[in-house]
Amino acid sequence: MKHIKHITLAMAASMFVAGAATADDIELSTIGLSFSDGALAGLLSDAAATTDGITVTSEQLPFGQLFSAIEVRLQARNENPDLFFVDGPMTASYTMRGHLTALDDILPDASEIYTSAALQQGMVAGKLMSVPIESSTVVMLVNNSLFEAAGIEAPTNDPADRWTWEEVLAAGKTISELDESTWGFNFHYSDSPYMALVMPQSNGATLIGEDGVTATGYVDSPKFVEAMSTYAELYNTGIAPAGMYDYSLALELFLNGKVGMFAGVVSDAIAAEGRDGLDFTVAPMPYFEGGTPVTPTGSWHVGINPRTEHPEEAAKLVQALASPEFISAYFDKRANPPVLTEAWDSMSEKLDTPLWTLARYEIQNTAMARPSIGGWLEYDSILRNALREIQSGSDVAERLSAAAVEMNRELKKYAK
Amino acid sequence: MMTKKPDTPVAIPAANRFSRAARKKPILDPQRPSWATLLMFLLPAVALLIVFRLTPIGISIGGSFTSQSLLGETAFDGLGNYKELFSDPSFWNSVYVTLLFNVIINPLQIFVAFIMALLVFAPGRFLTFFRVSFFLPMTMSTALVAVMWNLLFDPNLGLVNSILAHTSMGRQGFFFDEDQALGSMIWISTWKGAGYYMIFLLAGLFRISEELYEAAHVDGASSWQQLRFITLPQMKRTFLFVFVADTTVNLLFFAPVFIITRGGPNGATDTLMYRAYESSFTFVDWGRALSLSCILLALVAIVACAQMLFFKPGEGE
Repeated sequence: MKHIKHITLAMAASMFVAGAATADDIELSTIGLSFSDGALAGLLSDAAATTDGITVTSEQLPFGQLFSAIEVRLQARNENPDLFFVDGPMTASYTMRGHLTALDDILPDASEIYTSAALQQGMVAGKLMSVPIESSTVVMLVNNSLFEAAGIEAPTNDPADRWTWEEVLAAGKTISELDESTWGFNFHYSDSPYMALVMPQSNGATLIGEDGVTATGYVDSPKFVEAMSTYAELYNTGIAPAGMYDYSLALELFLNGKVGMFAGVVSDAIAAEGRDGLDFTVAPMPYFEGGTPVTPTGSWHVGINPRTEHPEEAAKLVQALASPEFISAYFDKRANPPVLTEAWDSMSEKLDTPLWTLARYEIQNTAMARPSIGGWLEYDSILRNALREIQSGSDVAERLSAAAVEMNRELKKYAK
Repeated sequence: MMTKKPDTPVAIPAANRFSRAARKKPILDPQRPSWATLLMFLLPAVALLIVFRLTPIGISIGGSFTSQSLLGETAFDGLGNYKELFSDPSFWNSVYVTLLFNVIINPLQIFVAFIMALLVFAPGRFLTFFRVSFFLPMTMSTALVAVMWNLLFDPNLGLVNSILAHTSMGRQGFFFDEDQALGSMIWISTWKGAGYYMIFLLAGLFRISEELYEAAHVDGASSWQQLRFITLPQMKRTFLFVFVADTTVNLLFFAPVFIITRGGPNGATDTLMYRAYESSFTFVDWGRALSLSCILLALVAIVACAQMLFFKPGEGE
């Protein structure tokens, strides 16, 4: 009898919980980036729960598949998905192809609440097309033990003492000579324009013509080639491990004490803090002597499909995603620089560390976003292939020249 | 006296259609089935063929003559996509890479599969173990195989290079080296695929009558002569099937290129299939992607027809 009572209670409880999502609720479909712990679905559901009568189905995909999956869905030009994740530089591309709804009316105070770097990546022709939910910046993680073994003084985390790429090359060479399985430097995402473009940007190169479709004369300009020759030197002389495109392996190599300097995102530094026996500090990203300090930045955004059958509900969900509560909860799952200006103060307890102090400085002073052009997907893909081939020993000037020709061909469809 | 069978099925009067006599009449006269009966049996298969095979092919062919605006409006573009492709040197590099890959891998894979089939055909100890071992790579997903060999061949940390570093060969670039990347692709594809084709070739070997070998043995034929004059001619049909299937699969080779090299280094593994994928999902050019698919389709059809002509079994084979 007691068991029956318990079963009845359990059934009643489950019916009550199930009843939280009623038949009248509007279900919004989303496609987003998968977190390692699958937490995105819960975050979105929690955000939806703060609105009236909205539930969320969340499809989560790894970074490598997300863009293709979104392309396939959007090309169908139907109501699915209602909302989708947008990599900051892709905002212009989706907008030009009619895949995003303007959000100015939904978030009229956007220019006041978001950090400038994140907001700019969601703007196209003065309109807010996607709302940022997290941003990123890059710092250089320094393995103190390897510097000590090489007898070199390690760089500090003071932006005033920022190292030049020339210093990185010299120190990296000494460290890589310690033994065969040790490297002086590596980028976490070594074939990704997100990180590598910081080199030509720091050397004063312009990444694309003002029309957003002309690459020749920019991607193969002397300043661009000069900067990427340093990139080639890193990978062609054994200072950095060439051909390491498995990003988790690249991070693991640093965490195992095999890399002297590692350009990584803030969450890499947090991962390093949790690694026993790893003596490391954070330093600012290097720059070219005579050039400008530049750090990569990017941000993940959310946009609304203009063909959604539930525009009002989608707008409500976007407003929920812009709330400080959501941004804080999101930060707890993925510790990347918050996109709300006020979060830097309201979350100061969590952000008052040398790492976050440096990250904040870089975002406010040196962060430079990738170009906001319609053909970013094409630009990124072509340059990524060129970077891989430069790592494998291709002639830098020739390869960039070929990449520029390929970009011209693919970007011309975006010419106005 | 023999009665002549009527040329057409006897029509049953409507009133008698459900009578006992009518019910006894078999629905299908095995000697002269009606068109309606044939259609009834064929329709499901034909409908599925039309919906899932011919319609997509038709859409692809039609789509290859169109171009899409950024906002998704489709317009007839005639031969524009094909003209653009044929004037692009990187397209011809893809054609070259695809053909070179197939010219090497198809004979190699089938030769290896045939040797494996011969090895596990003859009775011997641990036969099941070897059959299973040879077939095992086929049970792994292509993506997993690509990731695994990419790790093994990794220029910095790969196991293979760790071993090679201690030999006179030294470290090798494998997927990372322009001269070795296609060869490395051929290696992983053969490693995975040979065991699969071994099964078909093994079935073909079992089909050959034992009496032929016994007669040859009595006539004093050597093992080589038995292979040359009995096994190979008797295997022609099996070889035809395996060649056509293998070539089709390899002309559409994609996943390891996508996962490991993305067509590089310097276009060394830039197959037509990868190029079609890149055109649609990276460069958002559906017209070009469909043109590439149609070219691949034509290539597969031409090669398959040529193979069927070349391997056409003769009388009595």
